[in-house]
Amino acid sequence: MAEATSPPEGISALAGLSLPSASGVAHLVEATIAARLVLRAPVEVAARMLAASGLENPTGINRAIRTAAGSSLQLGPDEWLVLAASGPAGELAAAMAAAAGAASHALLDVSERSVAMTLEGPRVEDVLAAGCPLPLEIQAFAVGRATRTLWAKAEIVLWRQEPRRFHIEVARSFAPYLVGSLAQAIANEAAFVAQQRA
Amino acid sequence: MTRKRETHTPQRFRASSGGRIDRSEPQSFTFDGRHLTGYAGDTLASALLANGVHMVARSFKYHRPRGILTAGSEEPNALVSIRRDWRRVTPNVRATEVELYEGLIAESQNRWPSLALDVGSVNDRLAPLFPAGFYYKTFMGPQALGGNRAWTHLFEPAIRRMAGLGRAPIDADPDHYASRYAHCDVLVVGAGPAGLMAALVAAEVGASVIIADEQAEFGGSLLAEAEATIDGQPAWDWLSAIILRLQGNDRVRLLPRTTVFGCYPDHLFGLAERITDHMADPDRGLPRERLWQVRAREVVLATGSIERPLVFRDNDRPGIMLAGAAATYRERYGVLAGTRAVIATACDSAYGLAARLARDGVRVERIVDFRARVAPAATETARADDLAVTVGASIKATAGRHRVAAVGLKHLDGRGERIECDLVLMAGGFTPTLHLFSQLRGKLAWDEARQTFRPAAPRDHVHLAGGCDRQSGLSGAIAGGVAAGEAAARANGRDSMTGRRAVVVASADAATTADAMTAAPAASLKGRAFVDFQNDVTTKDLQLAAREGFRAIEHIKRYTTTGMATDQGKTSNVNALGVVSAALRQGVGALGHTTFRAPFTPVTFGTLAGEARGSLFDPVRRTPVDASARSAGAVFEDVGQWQRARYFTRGGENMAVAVFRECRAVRERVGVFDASTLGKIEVVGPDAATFLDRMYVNDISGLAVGRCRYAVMLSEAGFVMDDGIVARLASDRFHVTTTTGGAARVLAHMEDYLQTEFTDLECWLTSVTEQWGVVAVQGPRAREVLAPLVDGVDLSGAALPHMGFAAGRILGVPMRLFRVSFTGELGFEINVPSGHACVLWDALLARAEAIGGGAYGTEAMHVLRAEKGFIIVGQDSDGTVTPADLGLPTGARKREFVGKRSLARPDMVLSDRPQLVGLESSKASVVLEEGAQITDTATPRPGTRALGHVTSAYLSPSLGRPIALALIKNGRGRIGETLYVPMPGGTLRVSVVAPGFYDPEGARLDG
Repeated sequence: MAEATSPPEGISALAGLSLPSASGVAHLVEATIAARLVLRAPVEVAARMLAASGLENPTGINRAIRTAAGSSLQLGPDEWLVLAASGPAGELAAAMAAAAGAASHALLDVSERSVAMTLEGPRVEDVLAAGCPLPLEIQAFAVGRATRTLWAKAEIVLWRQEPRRFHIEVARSFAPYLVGSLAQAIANEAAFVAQQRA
Repeated sequence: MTRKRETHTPQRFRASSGGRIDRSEPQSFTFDGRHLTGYAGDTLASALLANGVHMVARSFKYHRPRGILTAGSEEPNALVSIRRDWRRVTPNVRATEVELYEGLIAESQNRWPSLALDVGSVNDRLAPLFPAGFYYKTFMGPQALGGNRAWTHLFEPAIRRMAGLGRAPIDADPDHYASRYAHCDVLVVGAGPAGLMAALVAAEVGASVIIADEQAEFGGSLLAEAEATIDGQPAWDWLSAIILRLQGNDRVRLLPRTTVFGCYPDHLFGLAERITDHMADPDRGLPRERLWQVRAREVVLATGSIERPLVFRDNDRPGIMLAGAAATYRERYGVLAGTRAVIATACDSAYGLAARLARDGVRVERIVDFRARVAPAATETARADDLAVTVGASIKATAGRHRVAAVGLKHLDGRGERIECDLVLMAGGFTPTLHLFSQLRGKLAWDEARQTFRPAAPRDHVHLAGGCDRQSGLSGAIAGGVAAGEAAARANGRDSMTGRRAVVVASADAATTADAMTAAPAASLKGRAFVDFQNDVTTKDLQLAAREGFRAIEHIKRYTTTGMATDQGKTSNVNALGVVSAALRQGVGALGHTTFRAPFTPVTFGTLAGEARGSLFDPVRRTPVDASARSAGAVFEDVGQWQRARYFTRGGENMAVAVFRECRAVRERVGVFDASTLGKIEVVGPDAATFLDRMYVNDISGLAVGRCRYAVMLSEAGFVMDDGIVARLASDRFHVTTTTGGAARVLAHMEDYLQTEFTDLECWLTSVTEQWGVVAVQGPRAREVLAPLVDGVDLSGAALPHMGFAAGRILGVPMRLFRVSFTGELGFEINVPSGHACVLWDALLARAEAIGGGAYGTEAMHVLRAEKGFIIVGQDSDGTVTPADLGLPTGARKREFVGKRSLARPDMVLSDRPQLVGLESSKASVVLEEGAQITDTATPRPGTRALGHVTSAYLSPSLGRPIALALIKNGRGRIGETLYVPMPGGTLRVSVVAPGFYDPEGARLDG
């Protein structure tokens, strides 16, 4: 296609925000996602579509799986969020749609709907427990679990990538709030850690 | 003013040894400016008592001198203000809970000019003027005396100033607060012997445990049991060992200084943790307090019990305290509360205490047992220690101004006796602390034999242990704790016995809680006997309420305010019931009890607010165009959580001037507008059209691909709830816009129907609000601004007519282009992926400005659409108007849609329903007030109902005169009529017109 030249780079919703970090607690960094797709389809159709583009179908709802092509997070019985390792979204979507054949589904490019961050550190569970009402102990929310949930007053998608690393997706207009309130939680946790050491 | 340092021996009442205080760490503090010292480990109350300070407060209503009644969170008297610095003043804290730190500054409250010389104490003499129901009786003055004006403006404010607590701080709280969620198998409330055992057993059986206690130190009643032994070890050694084991278990979280204040649905518990209040110099990075929201599968309540005072005349003087409190001060803090004690009791617990006090060197002048019969065992031990016991007597009076100095006894035979003393201890029996059990919907029953409330029936997932379960003594508490911990853990399916089983045999019963009786004060009592110390409620108040016909305890509570203070009647409720029960000659069991409500003890607003203050109070959402709009001079307004550009100021223009210019630019040339906040939902699937047919009044399945339609959404009741544009991108794909405020609500409404009602339809909804940044270009020259930037789309009227849709590229990025107009001019709305919205805006604005156009904001948008008579849902509609009321299509007869059937209800088709019309004012200079009422006469009589109200009103730059939209009864039938709008500056005459003021035939849509 003539349009295969990648479009101009858009402005990140995190531009201008300083991301919090506290040694011994947790740090927040922007995660670049080349393309995001929302896939809505019956599970067997979705599995076929994911496979066609080098992705895998997670083992169930609220689980995520990563391959070289990208990650797929199953957020509902017929809902997947695809985070592609490389763009553009159009090519990925075309491959997936072709695999669906005549089966009905919804496939949308939502690359710029949200921003992604990685929160990582030894006290990451404690930091998240300040604003997320879900139980996030490793026994309750193992590596590979992903879910739509709340952080304080913002809706987020939370995915545990490693025992001490979480991927967070948030709608772009909520990003400054999320960053500000995570910064507060990290600062509080750092103060608790310092107090315990003292 | 400088004060002399204390000249008398510091800490004169501190015993030479004993207690859990750290004598190597003296701490100086001030109380009302007086310099005193205590030790690390003291509370403010214990440190004051160590210095012989008993009078610490003036009472709420009568300004009576008050002392320290208790040693815990149930304290009703000793409320003080703690001043850390000028902005950190906390009023109404209980001195019994304040941990001493170096430099602590405490002040008494509700007194002027000083605690000892309080002008307000005149209230005590005027007591007959303040009976129960004082407010109800006095604030209903007759109209003839000027209504209640004098009361509301003069007397009531004065009375409120006099009767009260500490002053609330005025400045913003400089501290910050944290929140925390947690989950556990077992939450243990209270870390006394029962709670500690429950936690240990539950954890060692395999459960995850959170154990919280309101005190700084774990141990509960054990902290006042220096001499007890458990398992052959001293109780305090046993305590240290248990705490070490809990700390060593990674399944256990220990939360001292944490009050479990409330129980909420599905076993959610609210816990308030105090983090820095006990520190002399806290790290300011630490939050002051933290709110824990804990979801626990099982809860063990090991909340203990609260001792009851006895009710006798003038039982509220400083130096009169609970017997158990005196024991705590002695054992835990090494403080003797007095030198000559009279012990008034209705409970066996006092005898052991008396013996201990005597051994510590307190002269026990007399044990006065109010009961007519006492088990010989109790009195024998006292007599063995040479203590004088008087059985069947009562206290008739007490003397002493700022401290009790003597009591007057009345013997069984009527003989009186005066005993000098400086301490009176009251042992009125124990009330199990069942507040949380009651909050958990547990029912309570009155146990006549033991004179206490007890759980009427067990609650699932709730386990009681120790004093709150009426398990008496240490061994009872420990056994109860073991049982509760094991039951709670097993209820979680944790029975793997992963840890060593705790085996504990308590060998000592230090405190026995024998049967107690409730106080039975005589109705003929002279003077006042206090029941509720914090709210100054006496037996006479309760008896008066009974005489005045109150029968229900909930009514008596509210009429007399007994139990309504911040202590919620922890020390007074059962005594109040006893008094009322006697007055009504009705059993306590039949009276029942008042409701226990959260919080158990007061919780600061800061803790409840947590991080949600200042910039984190609520998310502030900025559009993807924000940065560019800002540099174009935007002045923003709040629209829900969004910040929207209201107008763009140039060279110091005010809003009116800027809006006028912006409107003219759109009408004459071109305007650029940030419409990114519009909600957007993509509806995809083979049944997408059918679904939208059912969700909107308008026909969607008939819409051709590449076309848009204005659509109105109704609630099930038939009222307009939202509107927007539906564009058909493909046969099975729609791009739907919603109002800014309706975005989340509309998606939820659609999902609700799709998932519950229309499960036969195959389509999916996805919010794409934030995927797309939207810039509108509106005005006769919109096309020429847009055209050079666009790739692959023919913008001509023929190729892209009004309400057309096209996909293409702009500035190299994908776009969705809608030919729509909310201004009445030729218009386009360009959607691009959000990250590109600023670049698009900048390019469009530069081109618009080059031809004399410019940016416009929400204010100009409102004016422009009003000139066209276009409604804004929520401004021109209010949730009670139908599409017909607004003059909108009401849907095809054959097609079903949500809300349709409601439109046929009789009151929905009445001819005098409010209808949207336009108003033209007689005065060319006056803009009507939005919300102003509309009448059919210029000077309606009071009580006349309005015909309707103004919904939108602006000065129209295009027409050069004010315009307004209004909802008026049968408005369309009144077109041409003259009506009236009473305004602050006089009544205005208006004529009713059709709602389209500008270009009613729509000729300008094509530029």
